[in-house]
Amino acid sequence: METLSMLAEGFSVAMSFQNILAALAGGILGLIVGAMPGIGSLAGCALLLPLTFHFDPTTAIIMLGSIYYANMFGGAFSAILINIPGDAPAIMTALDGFAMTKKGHPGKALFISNYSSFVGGLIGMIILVFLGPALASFGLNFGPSEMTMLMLVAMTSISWLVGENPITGIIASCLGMMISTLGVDIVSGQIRYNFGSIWLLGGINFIPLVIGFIGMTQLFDLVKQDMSGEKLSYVDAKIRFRDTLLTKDELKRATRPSITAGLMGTFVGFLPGAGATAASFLAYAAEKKISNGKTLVPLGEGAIEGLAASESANNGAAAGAFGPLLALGIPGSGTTAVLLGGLMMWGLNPGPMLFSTNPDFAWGLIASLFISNILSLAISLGCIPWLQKIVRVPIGVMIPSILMICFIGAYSTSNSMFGVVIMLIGGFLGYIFSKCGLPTAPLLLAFVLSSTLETNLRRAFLTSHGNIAMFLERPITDVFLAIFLIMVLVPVGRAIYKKAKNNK
Amino acid sequence: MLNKLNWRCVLYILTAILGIIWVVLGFGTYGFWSAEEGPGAGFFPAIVGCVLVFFSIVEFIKSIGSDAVKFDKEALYLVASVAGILILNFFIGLFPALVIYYVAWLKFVEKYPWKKVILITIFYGGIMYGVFSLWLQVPFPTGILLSWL
Repeated sequence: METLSMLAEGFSVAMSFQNILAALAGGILGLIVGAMPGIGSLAGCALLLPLTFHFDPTTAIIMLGSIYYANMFGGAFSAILINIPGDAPAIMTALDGFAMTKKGHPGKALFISNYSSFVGGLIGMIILVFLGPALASFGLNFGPSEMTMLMLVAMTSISWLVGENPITGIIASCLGMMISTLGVDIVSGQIRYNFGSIWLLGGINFIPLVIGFIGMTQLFDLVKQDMSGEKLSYVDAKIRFRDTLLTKDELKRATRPSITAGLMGTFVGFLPGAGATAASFLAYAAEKKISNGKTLVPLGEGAIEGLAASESANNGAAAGAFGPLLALGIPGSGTTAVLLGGLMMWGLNPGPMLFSTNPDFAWGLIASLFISNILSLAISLGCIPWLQKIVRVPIGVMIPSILMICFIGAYSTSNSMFGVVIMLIGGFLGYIFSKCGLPTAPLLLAFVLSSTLETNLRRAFLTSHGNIAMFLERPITDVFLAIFLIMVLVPVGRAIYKKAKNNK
Repeated sequence: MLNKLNWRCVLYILTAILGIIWVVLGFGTYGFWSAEEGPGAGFFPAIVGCVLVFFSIVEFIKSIGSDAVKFDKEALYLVASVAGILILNFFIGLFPALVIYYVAWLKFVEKYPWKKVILITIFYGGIMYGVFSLWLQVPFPTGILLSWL
């Protein structure tokens, strides 16, 4: 009851005219920035941070929270419409979202994305209100060995995710992990695998890589279609707004994955260092197992369930990340680290004392997240009629437009032509990989998670003095180990059984 | 044997070589394990390299004799576009290079009338310039000619 009355107090703070206006402005700006490839939520929040300097601390942080939250909504737009994820968590969104667009349903894909983002975010916020401090403390039980096992489960699930051949998934994952080892070793500070180049000292920036591997690679297909006079099915299709609304059945199919993925995403969001990207593809992998054979189309080919799982988990994690940030003062991701910087700039110190020393602020921020969620949903749904017009742009105009945004997006992440070079290498490699049947999604996701896996694996060995038995001695690692073994052994056993059956 | 090899085989040979490089440098140069400090900077990359080499060999064997990989000749349009933008960028900077490419593609590849080309370019180029250059203040490279002027 006390929690609810504090939340009500928070709403009274957040519902002031000035704060609602700030949340609205943050929502609109966050959506725009989030939808731009090459910016993403981290850079978006960092770029828009100075805008909040003009307000009092509570209003400023409400605006910043709103920017952060709307960024998560916006990241899906470019992934769904032009197959360029606005940021890393939207990679899984692009798999089914763009497939739906190609089938002539961009509006429905946007609608599902917004709806699932809202549901996932709402679940995350409710859990944040009631269980936030407790879950954040539980997250602290995740030491290096638990995080290693979690990341290992995540990495394994990537390999089984895409395509029918897990070996190509493993090869792509290994390539992603190897690319992430370029530059300075984050544990020891030693320079490695830079081959004498100063450009590689800082490692490879993720955004140019993803723009190249996903955005630029698809240009090859578009050019081929353009030159052969083929028309994309969705280009000439007249899309009416009512066609974008979900039927009862579609809403039902999106709701169940949104709830399960929202819960999963929130939990992952509470873990320091795991982040929305890990949440979105863990939820996607889980959804693939849960809905095995029960979806109208397979996941990855425009399945509502896949899109809903990815988006809901992403937003659940975004809300969950506030748990360790507010309750313990630990940022769960790069973006929440920017928010932490913002909080400290206003003289607020997140941690166990925040809720008692600055209740107005803490509960005002949480309440404003609810408001931001509703505002972002309303703005996003309102934008659908205009957004879906993008896919009616002729393919001949789409090609130079996408190439232009690939160049600009890749350059703007580092303000250097090195980003463009990475994007181009990624684009050409992505084309070769697609021709040879090597999936690129595992490469990108392994790249994102690799540093967390490596850091925790090395810390685990360091603290246990090289004793591998540490992975068996703690209950949480045992659970993850069991999941890992099931994930690896069940498909192998199934394949052997199938082969034996065919041989009979 | 040789006529059964295709681009897929070449790709897996290259990934295996890459894996070997990572293993050799990981074990040799960067340090795999030390008694005092535990796992070194080469520990993780060397393990990943080993896994990559193993599975590349498996996939290489599976790829022998599989269907040939065909690349599309239309891809050359994109290669030429990228080369053109990079050369122009060197002289006049990135944004003008992209605008010239945009106009050239619409006019000479898509054969759009000039009026349409100019309108589309002003609209799209204006949005890109307004957002990235004016609002977000991204300092695009200017190229040697513009720097000289």
